[in-house]
Amino acid sequence: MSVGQPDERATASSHHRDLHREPPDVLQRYYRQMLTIRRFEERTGEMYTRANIGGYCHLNLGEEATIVGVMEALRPEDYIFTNYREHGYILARGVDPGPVMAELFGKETGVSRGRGGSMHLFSAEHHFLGGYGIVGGEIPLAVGAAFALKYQGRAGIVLCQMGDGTTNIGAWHESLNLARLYRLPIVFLIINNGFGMSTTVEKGSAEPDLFKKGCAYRIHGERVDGRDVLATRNAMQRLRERAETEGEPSILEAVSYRFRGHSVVDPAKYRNEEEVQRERADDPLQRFAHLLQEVHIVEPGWFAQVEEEVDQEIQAAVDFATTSPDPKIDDLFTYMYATPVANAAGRR
Amino acid sequence: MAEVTMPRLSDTMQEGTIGRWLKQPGDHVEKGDILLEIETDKATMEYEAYESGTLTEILVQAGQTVPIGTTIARIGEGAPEPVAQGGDGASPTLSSKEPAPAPPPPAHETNGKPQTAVVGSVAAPASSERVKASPLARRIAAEYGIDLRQVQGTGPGGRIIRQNVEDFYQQRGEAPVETPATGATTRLEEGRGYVPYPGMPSSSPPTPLSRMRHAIATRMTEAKNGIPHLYVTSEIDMGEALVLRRQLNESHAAPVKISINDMVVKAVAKTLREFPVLNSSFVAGANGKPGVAHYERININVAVAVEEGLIVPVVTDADVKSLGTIAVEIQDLAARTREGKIKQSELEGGTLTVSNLGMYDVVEFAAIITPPQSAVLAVSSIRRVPVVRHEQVVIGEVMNVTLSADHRVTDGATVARFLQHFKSLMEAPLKLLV
Amino acid sequence: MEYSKAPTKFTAGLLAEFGPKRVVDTPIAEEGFVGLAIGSAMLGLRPVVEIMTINFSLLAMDQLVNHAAKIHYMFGGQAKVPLVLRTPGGGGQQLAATHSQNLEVMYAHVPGLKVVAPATPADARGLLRSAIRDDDPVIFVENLGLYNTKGEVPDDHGETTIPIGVADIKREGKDLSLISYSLKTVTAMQVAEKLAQEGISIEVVDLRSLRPLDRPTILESVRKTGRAVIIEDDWRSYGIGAEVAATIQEEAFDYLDAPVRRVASVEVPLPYSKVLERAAMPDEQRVLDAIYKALEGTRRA
Repeated sequence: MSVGQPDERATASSHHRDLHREPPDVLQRYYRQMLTIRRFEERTGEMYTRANIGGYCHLNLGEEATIVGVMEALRPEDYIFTNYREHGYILARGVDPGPVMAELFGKETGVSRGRGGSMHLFSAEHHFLGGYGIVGGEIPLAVGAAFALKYQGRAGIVLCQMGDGTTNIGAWHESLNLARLYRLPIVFLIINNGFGMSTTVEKGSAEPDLFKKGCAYRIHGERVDGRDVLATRNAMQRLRERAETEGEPSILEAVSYRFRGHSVVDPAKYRNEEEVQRERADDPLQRFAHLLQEVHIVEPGWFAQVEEEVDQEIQAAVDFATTSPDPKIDDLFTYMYATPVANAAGRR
Repeated sequence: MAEVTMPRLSDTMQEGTIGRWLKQPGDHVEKGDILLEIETDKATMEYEAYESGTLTEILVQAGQTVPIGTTIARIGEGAPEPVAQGGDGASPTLSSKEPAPAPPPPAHETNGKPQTAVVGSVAAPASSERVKASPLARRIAAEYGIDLRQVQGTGPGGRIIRQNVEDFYQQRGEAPVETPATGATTRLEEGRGYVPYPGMPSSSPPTPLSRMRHAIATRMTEAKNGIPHLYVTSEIDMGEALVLRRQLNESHAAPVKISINDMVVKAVAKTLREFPVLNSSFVAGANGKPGVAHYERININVAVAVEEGLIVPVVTDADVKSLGTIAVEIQDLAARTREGKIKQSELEGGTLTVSNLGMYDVVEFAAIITPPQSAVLAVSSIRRVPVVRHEQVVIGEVMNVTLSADHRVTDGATVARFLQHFKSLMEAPLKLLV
Repeated sequence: MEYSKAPTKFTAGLLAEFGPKRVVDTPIAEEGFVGLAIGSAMLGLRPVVEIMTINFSLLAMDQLVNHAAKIHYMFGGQAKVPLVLRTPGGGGQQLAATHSQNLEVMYAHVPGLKVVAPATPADARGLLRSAIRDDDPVIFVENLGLYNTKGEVPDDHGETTIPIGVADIKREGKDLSLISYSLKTVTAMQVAEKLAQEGISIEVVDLRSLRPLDRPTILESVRKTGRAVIIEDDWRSYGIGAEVAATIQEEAFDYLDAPVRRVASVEVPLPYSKVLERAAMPDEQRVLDAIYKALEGTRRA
């Protein structure tokens, strides 16, 4: 297909016949993962208001289908860089919710040992190389990781996730240029939830079709309905393949809706209530649940059972975070330098 | 010719260290001028001249320590006498057997608190004008015992710099004294003022005492000489205590392991509640009439060995605290003591001390009372020995304890009954849990 | 720019020796390629990035300060950033305000970075080796004025390293500690030589590393001499000298015989005019003046 043209296959939503081609247990897993993210984020919001979580805290509510679709298309050898709205991604990558919640609580058992917090989740073991708090900060790093994969001749690609507002940042454009120039295995995933903080996409980007913004660098782009888990997964699989086998970087724009404000503390007064209600009515979780019911993939009562299991899992994560120890003050300098050097002892 | 002697400046002072001389040989001295600063065991005090005249001789230099009454300088009329040659080792006065001719001046009321006070009549310092000197010049002047007001500064704006201080010294023809004037730990300078014991083989030059060793040396000498100690020893069958300790530890009854010492602390505290006479201090009392002051709270000092000596943090209200709480507190106190993180307030307020050498395979020992307490309990090792039970010789586990008590406060019979009670608790240790 | 015709000769011969896989040309996109280097270092590469002058490194500040310096600590030690960023600073070449800065203090301010600034060829080689072998991001600060320096380097088959975080006494003395780094160490050595003929004994302390700063060596020297003058090419306020002076004041107050003095750049954007440029930069005469002032009152002054 030509550069800069939307992929019709991707923008189309999944239909009943698509579902019949999927193994039932896979569909059930997708639903369960989406629900895990939903419940995790709801409890996170609650824990924030209970002051167990500090700082900035951004939720993935409304973006569950995008996350599960994208992450299901990746392989273990792939690397992931994200922005600060990343709780769901690390969960979908297979990290246990306990250490993730513990990180939000700032505990030693957290995925970043309590040093990073909500915006800076990390798991080297899972190739999840960080949530990053600076808008666009993760993009050059992700390109560098792709550079290393190619340099080392290793399999795998890099997924670089970002928000719609990030497409206006210089670092992205420098990175698109470098990625195409060096033909690096990377997919730039734009989460278009309609708002860069409170600024609409149309007011922030001269080209509101964000997937077209790679044109000047000859980078292919597609747009997908981010509320459709299967369509998102399929698009990501194709782009992943191109990146790995052809060294073609690409852009995937997933259109979704942020159910809440920019962060936990943002009342999102810049959106009108009617729009919020309309968008919320098209809940990706409910949409997928209806589909599963219509095609009789699950027994009646299955939803209630999964609901209970997930609730228990998230409660266990909250309990784990609550009872975990704080980092020791004696460890304040512990991760300061990887190579110890003379005279670096911290002066307190 | 008047002699200036080391004054008595506090109720407990026995010797004093010259901080620094504010007047130098040849200086004219007015009665009331501050001659020098003296460090006592409690504070740095300024000392004023009682006579007018010329300071003819300084006999004891800054940093040196001499007993009360020792002549430290002479004030005469007319020209100064030649200055004694320094740097040849012992100062003559340190080994002088001459009795002090003048009685010490009256002690000033200090309330026992560290303070800087002017001795004698009230007088303002001679000059309140600040001397401009570099930090280095100040430090060297302090080491040499030089009054910076006598030094001419050549630095910017007349600031006194190192060279000026050193020149001043050279002109006085004295070699620098290397010892810091404030060296509380170096009262005995290495190789100086050291008179070997006759008949003993030659030794290394004496090493100065650390501050802690010095405090222990002073305090224990005072206690042993001043308090009439009486000693009573008791043998305790520890069979039940060992069983109870094992049960408590196996069932994780407390957050930390309970030790025998924790049980001893608890038992002695409970016993003190029955025998308040030993939870006391012998005091001078009003009008100088001696008396015994009793304490309501029972706070037990627990000796912790550290490098250089020992430190005795306090478990407060040990009679009402549970065994588990005592165990946790002692472990915490001991750990922080060894790390040097113990606070001064945690060392104060003890009413009786427990000293335990149980880990060193000790049969029996007696400890010296720590003033102003009235007693100290010395705890020895638990040993497997033959004992008679039900008319049978069996292997038993016994522990000797010795209570040292202030005989001014109580008598042997009371101490014996105290130990009887203590023994009954240790041999039926369930009582420690209620 | 094309590496084969690069205007600075620092990388001359590298391409021929190591080939295009290891010697990579980049577009002018400092934020992009510095971030790329950091990301590749996270996956185990050991990139050495050259930025033509330190002024352009400002474009990569987000990647250096918000990312390279934070990644190891903020992710609880799970990722390392073995990056070296080589870049020259300095004025005096009539390059005018935007191309003549000494911005090393900005990086030296940031925990998580290491910053070195050698003055001699031997130190440069030894420190560059240490920097490449180090698992943390190292900013390797050069100075345009040092590129023509000649000096002995040990014939060592590639083994001699200079440890990061260790200063060097370049000349022993007893009257005053002259503390400097990079190009200013050359000035310091010249001044010390000149003053030796007047009977003034100057100790030259070459910091070599700006973070971590070798405080013990500085303090030991000042405790010996009782006086200190710091020469630096950066601006005076909040500069390297301010940190050194504060350290001396905190830790060696009782050894000071005179106030610590600083000779630094005058606080203006460096002008183009040769006359004005010269007036703004610390020169030998200003260093001599500061030393005489610090020695005032002594027989040596």
